[in-house]
Amino acid sequence: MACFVAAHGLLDQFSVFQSAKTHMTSTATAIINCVITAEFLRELAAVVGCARLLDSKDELLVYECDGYVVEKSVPDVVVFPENADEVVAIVRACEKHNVPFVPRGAGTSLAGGCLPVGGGVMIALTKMRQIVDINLRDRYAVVEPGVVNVNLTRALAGTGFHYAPDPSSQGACTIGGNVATNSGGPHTLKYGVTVNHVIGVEFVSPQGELIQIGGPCGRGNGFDLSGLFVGSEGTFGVVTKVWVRITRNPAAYRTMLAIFDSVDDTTQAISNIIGAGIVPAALEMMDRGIVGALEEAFHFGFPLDAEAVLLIEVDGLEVAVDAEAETITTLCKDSGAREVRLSQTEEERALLWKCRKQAFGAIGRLSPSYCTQDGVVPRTKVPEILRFIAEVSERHNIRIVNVFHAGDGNLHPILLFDERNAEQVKRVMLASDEILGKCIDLGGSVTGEHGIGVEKISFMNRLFTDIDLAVMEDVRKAFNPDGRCSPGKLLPTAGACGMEYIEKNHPGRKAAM
Amino acid sequence: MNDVYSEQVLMPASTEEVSRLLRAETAGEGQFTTSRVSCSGRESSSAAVRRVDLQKMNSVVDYPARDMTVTVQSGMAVSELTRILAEEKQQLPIDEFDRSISVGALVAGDIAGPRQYGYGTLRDYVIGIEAVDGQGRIFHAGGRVVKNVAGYDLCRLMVGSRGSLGVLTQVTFKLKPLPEYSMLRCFRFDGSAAFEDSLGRLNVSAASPLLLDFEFASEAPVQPQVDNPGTVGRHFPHALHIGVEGTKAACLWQIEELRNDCAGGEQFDPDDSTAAASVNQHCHSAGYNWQDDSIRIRTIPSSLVAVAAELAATGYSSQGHAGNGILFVKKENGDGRVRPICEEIVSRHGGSVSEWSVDHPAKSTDGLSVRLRSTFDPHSVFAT
Amino acid sequence: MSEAESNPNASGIGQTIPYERFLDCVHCGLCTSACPTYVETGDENDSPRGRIYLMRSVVDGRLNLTDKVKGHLDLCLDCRSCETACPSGVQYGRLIEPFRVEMHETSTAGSTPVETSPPTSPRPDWFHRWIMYGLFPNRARMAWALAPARWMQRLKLDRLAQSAGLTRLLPERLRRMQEQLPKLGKPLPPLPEFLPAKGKRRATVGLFLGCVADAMFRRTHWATARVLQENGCDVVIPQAQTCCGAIHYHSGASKPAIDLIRQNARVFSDDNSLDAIIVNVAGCGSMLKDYTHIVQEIAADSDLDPTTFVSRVKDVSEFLADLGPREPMGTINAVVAYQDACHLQHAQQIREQPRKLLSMIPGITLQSIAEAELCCGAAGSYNLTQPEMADRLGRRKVSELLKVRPDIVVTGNAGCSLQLQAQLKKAGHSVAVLHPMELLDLSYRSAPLSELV
Repeated sequence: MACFVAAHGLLDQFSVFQSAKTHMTSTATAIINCVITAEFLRELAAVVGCARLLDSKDELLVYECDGYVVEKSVPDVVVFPENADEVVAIVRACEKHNVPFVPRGAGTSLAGGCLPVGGGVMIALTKMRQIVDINLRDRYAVVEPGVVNVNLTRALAGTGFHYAPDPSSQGACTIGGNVATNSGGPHTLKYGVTVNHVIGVEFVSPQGELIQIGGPCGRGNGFDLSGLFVGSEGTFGVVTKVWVRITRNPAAYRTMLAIFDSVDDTTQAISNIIGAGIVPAALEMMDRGIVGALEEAFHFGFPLDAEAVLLIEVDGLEVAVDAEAETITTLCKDSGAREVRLSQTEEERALLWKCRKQAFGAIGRLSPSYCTQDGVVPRTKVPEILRFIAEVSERHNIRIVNVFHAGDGNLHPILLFDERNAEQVKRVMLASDEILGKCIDLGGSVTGEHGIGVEKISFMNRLFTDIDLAVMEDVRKAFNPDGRCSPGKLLPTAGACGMEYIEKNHPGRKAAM
Repeated sequence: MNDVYSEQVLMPASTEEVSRLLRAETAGEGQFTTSRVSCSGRESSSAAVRRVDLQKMNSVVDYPARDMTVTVQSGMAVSELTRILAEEKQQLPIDEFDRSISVGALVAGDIAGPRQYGYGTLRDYVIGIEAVDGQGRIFHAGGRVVKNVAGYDLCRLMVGSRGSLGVLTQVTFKLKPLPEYSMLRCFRFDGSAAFEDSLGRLNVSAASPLLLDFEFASEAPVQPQVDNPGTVGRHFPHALHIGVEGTKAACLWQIEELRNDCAGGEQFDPDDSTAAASVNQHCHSAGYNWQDDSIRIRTIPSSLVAVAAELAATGYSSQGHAGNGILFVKKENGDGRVRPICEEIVSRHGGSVSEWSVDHPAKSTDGLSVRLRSTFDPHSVFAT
Repeated sequence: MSEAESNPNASGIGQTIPYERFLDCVHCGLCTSACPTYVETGDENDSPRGRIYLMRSVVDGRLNLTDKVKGHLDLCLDCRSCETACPSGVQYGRLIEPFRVEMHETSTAGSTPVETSPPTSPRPDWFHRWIMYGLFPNRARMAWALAPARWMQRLKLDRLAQSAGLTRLLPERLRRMQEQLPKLGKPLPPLPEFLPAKGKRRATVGLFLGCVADAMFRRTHWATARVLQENGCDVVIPQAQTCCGAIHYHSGASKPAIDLIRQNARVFSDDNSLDAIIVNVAGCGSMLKDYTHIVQEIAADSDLDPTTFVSRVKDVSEFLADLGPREPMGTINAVVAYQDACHLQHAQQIREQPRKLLSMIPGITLQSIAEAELCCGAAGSYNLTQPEMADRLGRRKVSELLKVRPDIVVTGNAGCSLQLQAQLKKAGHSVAVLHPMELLDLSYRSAPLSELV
């Protein structure tokens, strides 16, 4: 659950403010007794220097959480390595002193991916932000983990290429973090998610070895280890370099806004478009609640009486996009669309996308607090899950608005509430749980792009069998035998019952998706 | 291939049965294989190796066509899957050469052909798996939705693992629509400079080719010329096959663009009326079959012409996927010289050299691969 | 850590800031990469999200306002780039500004002086105070203070002094000021009380002059006035107007700030015929537009209500774009790199208007630069208080500017202009830095570029 605790006073309830520098971290396999000694600090300082090491309480506090603020844990030390050798030395020092560590990029995870569970060392990769190489002829780029996603595409401006994965947080999130979470975005419908664009990874293993898997020529004769690495949420090691594919820019695109008078008609149109064998570059749905807020914020000219709109973009050859746009227009109208507008100018298109990508920011206009979910269902189940969400909304008397990647069934229902109302908060928690449970029942997943992190760990038992989880645990051990690297992430600890988050969590607000 | 007759073939009918077989074996000392093609490099080809044949597990588990995903048991023949998908005007855009190959073998072998340039490879299509590991544990990863980041991506690990980590029993694929129309064009080049120039232009072409294959013949071959699909005359040493798809108008427009990109070459085309068929035909042509008696070189696309030219200078013709930097060199029986030559050339340009029957991911000696192997197959029940 | 045991936030700093403003931040982090200091240091403490977290933690009593905390807050340029990036509409400026005001009020009233080594917070010392309270608010005194520099420059003594290393004998900050000084040229006469419209009168506008700008950039003021006249505006220049008060407000000097606000609001409101009050300096413009909020914040109980005044304040490019500018005819053949002033692009959300005006000029090739949203490091007096970071950002900006090989760099803010000129000079380049109005004026008059460079 993507939640934010904002009420004054509530914050303290969840903060983990360590006074003594000793923590117990429990993972499925190991209990780590982490002691930060002066000698250990000296060793770290010898690697990065004092200027790139934070160890005083007043400077560590901001590192106690990322985009997910329900759970907090202050690291004992934050270090800012500038190259892979320094990362190796840091990790070796951690190994020697048996201290857990966690890598962190921009800290935009919505699932607590950067949470330093049990303290230890946080390895901030924000100073490793060089674009090492751009090779247009061979269509790849080599970047350090701290490169901000959009900066790679900016560096490619004018070359006719771009980096395809475009999470809505792309203006801030790092490619290292994208690798950890296998990030998506609106255009992944046609172009695929991060793993489809990563051909090699260099990382420092928890034992302090610098390992390269894959590279410009792909995986060679071995296992597809970089494919396995992507999405491992920091539990396999610290990424120090990434080889990514770069993609040709489409020659042309057409961006449309289809306006509907009923949600059912809208979902029917989505199904018809996909069923007709068209793969749009993006297919995004926004319902009436969102449209109202967006109109207030951006004055695009959305019809306020529409029940839902679809933002549809096709791209490709100039000679082909018009025909596709026409087919889509017809399909929408046949499904009951009141109107289909085609963006006439680049400014109009840009504004439309701005509305979509900043949709979450506009929610503040609807409600003092909100909670964003990240469920996935098979595309044909979108009508069913939307009806279910409406029913849940009514049953719990919680307003829910929807803005999501309709084309791949990745939902982001947003539950609106007032965090000062404890009873309402409880209903939001129940409603969220029911929605995600329904996603599983419909054959889907509880996360399409935000990751499991610490947030959804309790859902793992519902998605996977005990054997599945045991096998995954074994795979983690092959990389990270004692669990010191990103402890407490992705895999549930033994004995978790799957409902304890209800007590722990508290819904709140989230801006990105 | 003689040992095929001496091996014992097991035909389980369910995942649970596969699990029972493997669980029983973990106590013994026999080995299993799911591969019909045995590895020549394998030391023991004795009867102790039993082949698990999943041909009884060949049904569709779930095909919600409008979701554009399909879940099938891995014993299903790829040709059957292709037929079922075609009924819904959909496809799994992976080129196989042996039409009788099973879905499991396709995934385990990470089979890929000409269209990997436009469509990518199996790692881009497998979204869920069910498999049985060497201890008989039935495990799953991924799911049936196209976007899902829950848990480790064991799907990617299984793709191309050649049966060394587990027996795939069920696979879920993401699908693509079948194109309306496709066309194949062939251009011939006299010199390697013009050839390289065209490849450079094609990399930034306004068209978006779905395949970009090449042939590069040696003028003084130490072996007979490559067995090409029969489109290229002997007088031109280098050739490019380029395929496009989409609406007919889009194909025609792209072909015009390609003519400009390939200025310096000469167009040599099959009859237009068979254009659509020719993409299909080309994608299954034997010349790109690595499992055959070929050596595969992977390099970066910009080094391709240099590598091909050096091979040609030593008397070896090559062909392959120019856009992906993949070359195949035919290895005549008993010609042990080819591989060292390939390795020497690749050592200077970067990349890898491999033979299907010799190189196997299970032979990787790096610590991680070894640990993963022992995780999935601690008792070494999977023959490699 | 000696303070750790004492009562956290005993001073009650930040308690007057409405707590909802902190709650607006949902901690998504999308602001981080927009923040110049975070981009440089990579430390979350130097990011907008981090600073909000620090301030809130002080308010909540979770953190003491230690020198380290102060250092991170003082390192903020207040460029408001984060506000542009924020999807949730956090009013960052309205958090950091009042917080720092209280922070500095407390520390000036405080006890022992602390050595100002980074990242600890620099305190306003005598020099700082003299500059701020003695010099800036007084337009005449500012002109007088610059007179020796002007003479030195004319006699080329400045370069002699610099090359002989004599300037190194100056106190650090005075030397920085000397380095920042532009080529001052011949003093122009002050602008008169009134300049009539050319042709049919389309509007009557007041022109705001400011303090530093009037002393150093009077040429820009004249150019602005002529452009306005050219576009059919009667230009009224109230002689009793004064400094906008931004420097005082941002350094925590509430009392003088309110006095200046009161004076400006009065002199420009005396004349009810004004359709707009035109500002050509981005920093002053955003301050003027913020008067209402500031009064609410630091003098809520006063009778001062600058709402009418504020509603009429317009940046000159904003005003002209709305009015519909007359076509300039004179050709200027030059590659122009436009550098957005933060107080235009972020604080006032004005981006397209100056570009539109510049591209109207025949012969001009307008180039866009990478990292256009990042501050150049000028940020008002930041240049004097945070020299190291100001230089780092200045170098970063100059390297991006030079990539497009400009003949002229154009920016709409006095401070940016000084910073860019100084940084270009340091990098060994003599590219002219001009205001958009100077180029527009030149084109309207069909005058040669050599007149300006």
